[in-house]
Amino acid sequence: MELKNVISEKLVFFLDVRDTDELFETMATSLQEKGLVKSSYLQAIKQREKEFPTGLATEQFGVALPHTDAEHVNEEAISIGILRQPVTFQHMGMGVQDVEVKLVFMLALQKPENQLEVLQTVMSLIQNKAFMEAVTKCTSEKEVIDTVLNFTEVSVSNNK
Amino acid sequence: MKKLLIMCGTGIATSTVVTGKVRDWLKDNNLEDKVQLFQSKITDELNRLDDYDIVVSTTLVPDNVRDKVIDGVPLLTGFGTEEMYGKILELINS
Repeated sequence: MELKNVISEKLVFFLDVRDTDELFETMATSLQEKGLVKSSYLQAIKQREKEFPTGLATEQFGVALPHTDAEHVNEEAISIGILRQPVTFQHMGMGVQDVEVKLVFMLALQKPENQLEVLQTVMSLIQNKAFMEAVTKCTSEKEVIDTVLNFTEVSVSNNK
Repeated sequence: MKKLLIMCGTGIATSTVVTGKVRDWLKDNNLEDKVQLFQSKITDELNRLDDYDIVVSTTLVPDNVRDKVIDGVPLLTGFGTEEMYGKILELINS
């Protein structure tokens, strides 16, 4: 499976939210309304983020990859959130550390063996400075998807 | 043959990325025959970490097992990967 199969303009959000709860509610509710996740997904995302935070610091600004167990997911999808005001997440991994997040990839995932390519693409995008700058300057949902796809092609061809 | 466990909170997202990268690294360094890879979620593994020779985690682990676990986050951010691979290599050769 490739990234282009799981993203869409309808799953892109420009958000002005105060905290992670409000962020998760907006993005998860939309996934649920489209039938992509179950009603248990939102609560599971919140709980999971508390136990195992998903913020990641990059050179420019923080990114978060909220996700939860496959049992809450109907169909694989990735929702993209561009935050007008940064929201504080905890950093993934060993230490306790705050990260100011401006870009969110909310993952609705099922089998790990199917999604290595998708996840590797997301990881290479967030390590790409030009992508990170470009994506936060987008002003429409279509522009965000086009930017993701353009940079996906570049990073895939660079890896070959 | 060393047993290497890679774990995260769900066992489906970040551990998938880290497992993919470690597999490529083992291949590039001709270490595939020396290491068997396992991928899982932290809650399934905490009670049996001693079954593995090497443990890499992308998520926080309890203090009592902290010494046994290598932080896998560098493979997600790109910062500090050499140091992380150095620790794994040391354990493979020990």
